[in-house]
Amino acid sequence: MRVSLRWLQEYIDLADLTIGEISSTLTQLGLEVEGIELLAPLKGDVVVGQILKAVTHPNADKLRVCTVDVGKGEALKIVCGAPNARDGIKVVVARIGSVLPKDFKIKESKIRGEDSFGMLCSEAELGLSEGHDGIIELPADAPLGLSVSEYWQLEDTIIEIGLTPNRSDCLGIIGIARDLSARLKRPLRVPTLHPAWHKEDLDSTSKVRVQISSAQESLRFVALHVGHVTAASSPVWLQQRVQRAGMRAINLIVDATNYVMLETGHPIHAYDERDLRGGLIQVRRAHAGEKLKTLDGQDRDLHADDIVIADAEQAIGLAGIMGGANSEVKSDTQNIIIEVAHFNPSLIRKTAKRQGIHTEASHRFERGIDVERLAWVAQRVAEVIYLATQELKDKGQDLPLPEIASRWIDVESEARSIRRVTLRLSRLRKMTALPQIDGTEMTEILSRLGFKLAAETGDVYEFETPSWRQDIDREVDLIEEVVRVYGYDRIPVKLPRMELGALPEHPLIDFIDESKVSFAGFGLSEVITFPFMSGEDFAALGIDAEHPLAATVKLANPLVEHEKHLRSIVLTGLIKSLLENRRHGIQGAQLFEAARSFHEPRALPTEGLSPVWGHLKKQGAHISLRAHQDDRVLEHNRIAGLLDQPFTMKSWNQGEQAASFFQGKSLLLRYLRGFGIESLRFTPIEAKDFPWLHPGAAAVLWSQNSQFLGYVGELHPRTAKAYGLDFQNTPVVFELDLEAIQLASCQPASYASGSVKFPPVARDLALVVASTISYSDFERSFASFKQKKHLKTYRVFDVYQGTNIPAGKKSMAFSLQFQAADRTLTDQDVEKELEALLVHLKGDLSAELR
Amino acid sequence: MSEGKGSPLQETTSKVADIQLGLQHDLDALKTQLSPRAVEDLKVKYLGRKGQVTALMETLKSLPKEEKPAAGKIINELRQKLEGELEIWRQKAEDHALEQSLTQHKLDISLPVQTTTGQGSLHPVTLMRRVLLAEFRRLGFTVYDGPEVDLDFYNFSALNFKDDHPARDMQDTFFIGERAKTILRTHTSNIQIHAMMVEQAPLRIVAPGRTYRCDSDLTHTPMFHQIEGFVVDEGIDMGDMKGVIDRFLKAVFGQDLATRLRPSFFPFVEPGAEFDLQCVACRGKGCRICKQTGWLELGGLGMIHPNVFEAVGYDSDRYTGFAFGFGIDRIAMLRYGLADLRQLFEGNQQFLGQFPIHP
Repeated sequence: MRVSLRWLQEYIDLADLTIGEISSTLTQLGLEVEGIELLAPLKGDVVVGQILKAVTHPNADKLRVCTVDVGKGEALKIVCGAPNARDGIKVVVARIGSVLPKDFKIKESKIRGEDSFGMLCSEAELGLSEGHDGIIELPADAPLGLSVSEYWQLEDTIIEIGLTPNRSDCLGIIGIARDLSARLKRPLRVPTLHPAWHKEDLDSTSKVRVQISSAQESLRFVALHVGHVTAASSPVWLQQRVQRAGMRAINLIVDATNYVMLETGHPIHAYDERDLRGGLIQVRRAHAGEKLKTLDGQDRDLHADDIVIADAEQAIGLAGIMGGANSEVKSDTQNIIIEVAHFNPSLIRKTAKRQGIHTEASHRFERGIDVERLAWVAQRVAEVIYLATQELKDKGQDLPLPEIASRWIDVESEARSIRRVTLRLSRLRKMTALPQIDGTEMTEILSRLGFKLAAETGDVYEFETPSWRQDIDREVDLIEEVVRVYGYDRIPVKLPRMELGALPEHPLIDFIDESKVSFAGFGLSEVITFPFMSGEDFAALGIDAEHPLAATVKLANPLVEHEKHLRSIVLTGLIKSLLENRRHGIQGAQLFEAARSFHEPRALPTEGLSPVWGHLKKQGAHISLRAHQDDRVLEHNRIAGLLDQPFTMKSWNQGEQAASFFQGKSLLLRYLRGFGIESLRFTPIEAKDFPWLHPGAAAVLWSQNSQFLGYVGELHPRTAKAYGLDFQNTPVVFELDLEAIQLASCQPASYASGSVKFPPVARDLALVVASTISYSDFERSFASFKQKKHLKTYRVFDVYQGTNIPAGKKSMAFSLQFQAADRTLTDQDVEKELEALLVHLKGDLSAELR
Repeated sequence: MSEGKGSPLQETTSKVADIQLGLQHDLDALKTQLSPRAVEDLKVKYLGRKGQVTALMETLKSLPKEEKPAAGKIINELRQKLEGELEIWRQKAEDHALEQSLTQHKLDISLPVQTTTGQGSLHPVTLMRRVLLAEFRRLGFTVYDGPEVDLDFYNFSALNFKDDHPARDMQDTFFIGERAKTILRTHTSNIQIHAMMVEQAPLRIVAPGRTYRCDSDLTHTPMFHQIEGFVVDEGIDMGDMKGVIDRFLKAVFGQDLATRLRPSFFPFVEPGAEFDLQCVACRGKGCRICKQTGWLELGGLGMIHPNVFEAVGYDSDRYTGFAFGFGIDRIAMLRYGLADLRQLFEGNQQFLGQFPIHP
């Protein structure tokens, strides 16, 4: 809301305050000042002058050479092209050195051979209006030599106020003045009406009838007839006020409706009475298929929820939003009907959204207007039209004086009652921590804001709320009114006295942070990315419609049309970050992100879900059990990582190392070990579960009790290629289910076995097996070795295929350690067990000693 | 003891003296080329199987019986003395050898060791969040969490946002297409409802998290981070609200900075306010960062609206409380002196890798 300080001062005396003081007072009232603009459109000598003599330019028929008296010094010679430049008229003279709006500097010049010492100005040149012919003719009594800025009060301060949506009353300057009057304890000066200007025998009801279809559309409608109006250009002050608020000056009638809207906050519309067919104004819903061309020239298809103003035949306005082109005020309009009405805020809001228009009127109607002052507003508009016409007439324009009907039409669709709200003084004092406020002070503040004390019983005060305050419903609203005027700065600073909290925190909250610290400790950088995915992302990952991760949550209004999916996999944010790094020439980025994935439970397959994706059906642990009962989408807490190539760069003490599956695996084991999670199982992936992973270089990670914990692997060459990455040396990626890991970390572990006193005995063993035998086959076989007595650990230290090993075979060499808790083992003990082990491995894996 | 010259005993004594003299001579020579090997050679020379002391011990056999004990004692004393002395020298020699090898092995400790592109780091928003949470926990708050995709009820209607009211326009909402009344949360205030529907007062809760608004320009990102906090009990007043926010801001930004409240409007609080902190850059003098106002607008707060209490089934006459909320991203930018908001979410390791792991 742009408020002219000059205008504001018509309603409250602020002359003794600086703009800084006014601005901080407004901000402390909750009317936040967002900007202050000083208006000084004219610089230098732009003054009132008089053309003493205007003669035709010797070299140009259309130009005149004027001798202009500017009050002091010699008369100036000024060449002027305006047809109305003539002897005797008072004009606006921009003297040499002055600067007009748009940085137009006035210099001494020569026009078609004649010297010219200044310029005679039009309204357009002064920035007062758009495109007017001719120079300004000032009234004969304008004092010669006076600065035009002063004469027209062009200098002003615009205060830009950021209004919160509850304060519809401050969408009019009077509302702002009222708040100031309460805070500053100064009188509020509301304009008074002049019944004498109204024509006693003129009755609006003889001109038009008004019908409201129901209270759903409108609670009240006031219509006032004004006859003999002229849609002339408004006087300068009226144009200025409208323009300074950020609106366009159009003609006297439209400007007057806007002026009073800015003054009172109430939108107003004026119809050309000729265009109201059947002498009827109806407020109704639009008919099916009904169309309307609005004032902005747009043809609009109307919806059954739209409220329209219609005459006997057709819609003539989109109620509360914009008038229709078919009934607008035109240059030859003579009689008008002024509409000041109430419309259902929520329907206005819906229509404005649907039609994609936001107007000064719809902005105010959506927020609610003062239903009780409609007739006053209508008369005020009529009087501003009257006043402005009178002024033009006084300045010599040949205009009729408007005739204002003394009776207006007032249709109400529903009886309304005055709202009363009670306030306990004790509650006010307690809630605000301001025990010093007394009943008198409280009542004074509220009454300056327009509340009326209706009853008072001891501690309980009952107030009638002013009709312009839509936002006052209950006691706290009154408390806020009192305390914001009294001053938030006077509230003491203290701390609550409370019991110690006994609320448990969900362990996941800290676990996520601890996980981040772990990965950062391993050299990865945390990134935070937006959770939006596109269809291309799914295609690049190879996730088709059948895949459980295709059960996404979709935005109805995505920021970028194709990025409408909420991510069901955290990895894509990292891939995009990787691309960002590559764009900046950074190789070898190592990144991770902890974030939520989102899943649409309705789209998840009800059966046949792969065991790795079974956990998707569970709701996230961060959502309360109470909220689990809602019909809502699923969220999972995940952490994903990406290791770009190379893993380490070549350096003075080591060569370049590639990121490989095993680097990723090692990272995960270190991370999980940190939380005491061991006995993990890695199994090869099923390609259909993880189409974005290299099928031969990726694994699923399972907990001891077979919970899916996550996956790790090299990115599938196809996926890498789809993102424009090198498809031979793809990054290593992983993604973990933080909730499953947090649970696994809670599994009790025994650390009691401790250390053994007696020394271990070591033996190495190289075995030749079929190349299809995996390490995990050995793990299984070692675990099922029944004669095991002293074998404590085994560690593979060589895996070899090639020379000396038959085709289709490979050699795997193990370091074994034997140890007993009660004695030092002898060679015989060890040899015996080793022999049994070889027999077992031969039987189990066809392993031969190399 | 006999002292006769030329007696066997005397002879032994003089040989002992000779050996000691010889050793002294050898040790003097050793000083110039001290090594464990040289000491070992001396050990052989004197104490070895064919060494001088061993040879002297052999002569005992030929001594008269009555002189054997005395001579034996003398030789043994010599042996022990030599052993002791040589052991000391062996130690010295080893120390010397170690010193020598240490001086020869001198690293260029200035050589770099980082072989990875980036170094481990936490995101500045995470770091800031951890600082803020630590401070709130010190003030007795419990951390709470909840969904990012939520129902309209939790994000709006239970928070006293009326249907079709312009207050809803204060936040550009992302709507979920295939579900009615489901949205991406526009603020962390939804946690007020989630918490109060489950927990009983008294409550002191903070809830950090990702929030979303359909907005993207230089100073807005569609996803951003907020912290919500609220306190509910009997008798909580605006002074408590002012105190907690003041204490918290001073703890995070510095005790010498002033804070202030300005009346404002959020549907879920009444009275409502915004809170400002004296500009951390210019300390209130006015600068580019605070747009010459001397103040930084940090967030909103207010007394929890009775309609909110009633929506979650709390007795709104018995309980009062306050709630506050603010963005973390901007505070992180202030704290780490960052100028470009969008940089936070681009994932560039050159930028993000600068940050530490612990705040």
